[in-house]
Amino acid sequence: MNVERYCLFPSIATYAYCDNYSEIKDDLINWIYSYQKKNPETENKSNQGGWQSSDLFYRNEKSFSRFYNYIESSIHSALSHHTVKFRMNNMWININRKNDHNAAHQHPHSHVSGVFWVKTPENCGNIVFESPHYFDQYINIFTLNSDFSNNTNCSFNYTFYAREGNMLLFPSPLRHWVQENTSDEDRISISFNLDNF
Amino acid sequence: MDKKYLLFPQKLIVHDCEDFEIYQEKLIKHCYMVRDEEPNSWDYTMRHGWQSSTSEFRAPRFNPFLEFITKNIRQSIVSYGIDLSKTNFCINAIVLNINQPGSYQISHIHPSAHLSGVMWAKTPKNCGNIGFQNQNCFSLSSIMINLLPDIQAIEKIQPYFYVEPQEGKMLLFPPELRHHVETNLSGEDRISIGFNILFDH
Repeated sequence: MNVERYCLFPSIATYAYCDNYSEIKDDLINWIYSYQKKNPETENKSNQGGWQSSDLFYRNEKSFSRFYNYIESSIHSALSHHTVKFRMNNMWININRKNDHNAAHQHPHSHVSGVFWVKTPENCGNIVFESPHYFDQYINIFTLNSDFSNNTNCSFNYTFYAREGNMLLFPSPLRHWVQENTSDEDRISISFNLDNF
Repeated sequence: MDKKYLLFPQKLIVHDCEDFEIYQEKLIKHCYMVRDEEPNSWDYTMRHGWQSSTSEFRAPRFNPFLEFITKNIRQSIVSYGIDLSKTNFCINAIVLNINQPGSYQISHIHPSAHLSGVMWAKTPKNCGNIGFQNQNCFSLSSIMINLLPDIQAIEKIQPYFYVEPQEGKMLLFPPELRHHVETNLSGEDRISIGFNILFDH
């Protein structure tokens, strides 16, 4: 008997290795800490502890434009499989200190969301996505053998390692969280939402 | 006059547990005894606290509590409006939770259950509310943030709905309704018993 199995309607995540990050890394980290010092108030969204900037901070910060251009150009290269150019809707900085994490959340008012990892010491917390089929197809997924599950990504969760200089783009409705930062150093990332209006 | 319809609501039941005062102390002691025997938390949803295995309730030593919990689940199911003359139910999981100060439970759902619930055994002040997330929080986000606050409150068209835990009460909720438990900011343990129920069809 011939059997064919199809994984229907997948969610597309794009993991991008950005070029020449080492050339801007130190300047970007310094810029972020300097900005945080001037703007110590945190937004309280998905972050549990830690500091999150305003999501429009980049619009009034001319000195950030160098970094903004780097991130925006990386986004456009990474999204070359789409037929439209997505536009930046909002962007914010996250600093997760030791023991901080981000609770499970989605990114409403957006089509594609993403994160650029600025500083990621070992064990600073990876990003974990939850299957949209977690409830409705629980038994179907739970009973898959591990080979099939691993080969097809049919699982309850999928973890991407947070690595500085890399970027992850994903569908905005896809629920995700950031694990606790168990390192002694800060974990820094820049998140953003894209739309096509 | 315009007519308004609130379609497809989710139902929560808060039930006063019968005979709770008889079992409270013994149940709390039992939770600590199981934790002492198996100190490694299963951490299904718990962070920095302790959670038992889901099958701990099958041990014979849990039988007196099982009888008490089952009786109260039956009563809350009836309050829920389910006709138990047409169906029967069974408990397919029970988890003992000890939320120590500083612990919390991450956002989760209860797949492979038909109804879920929790019974609160010890709830000092500020020990952490249970927060339910609106299932339409993604698609209705733009509407929710622009609704008048009083309409939001009355119609419950809001991102989260919080329930304060109360000792001796049982909360029944749909298992697909995503929820979390806030950090225990009291100086004492918060103890609860979570469970999943299945119905015969």
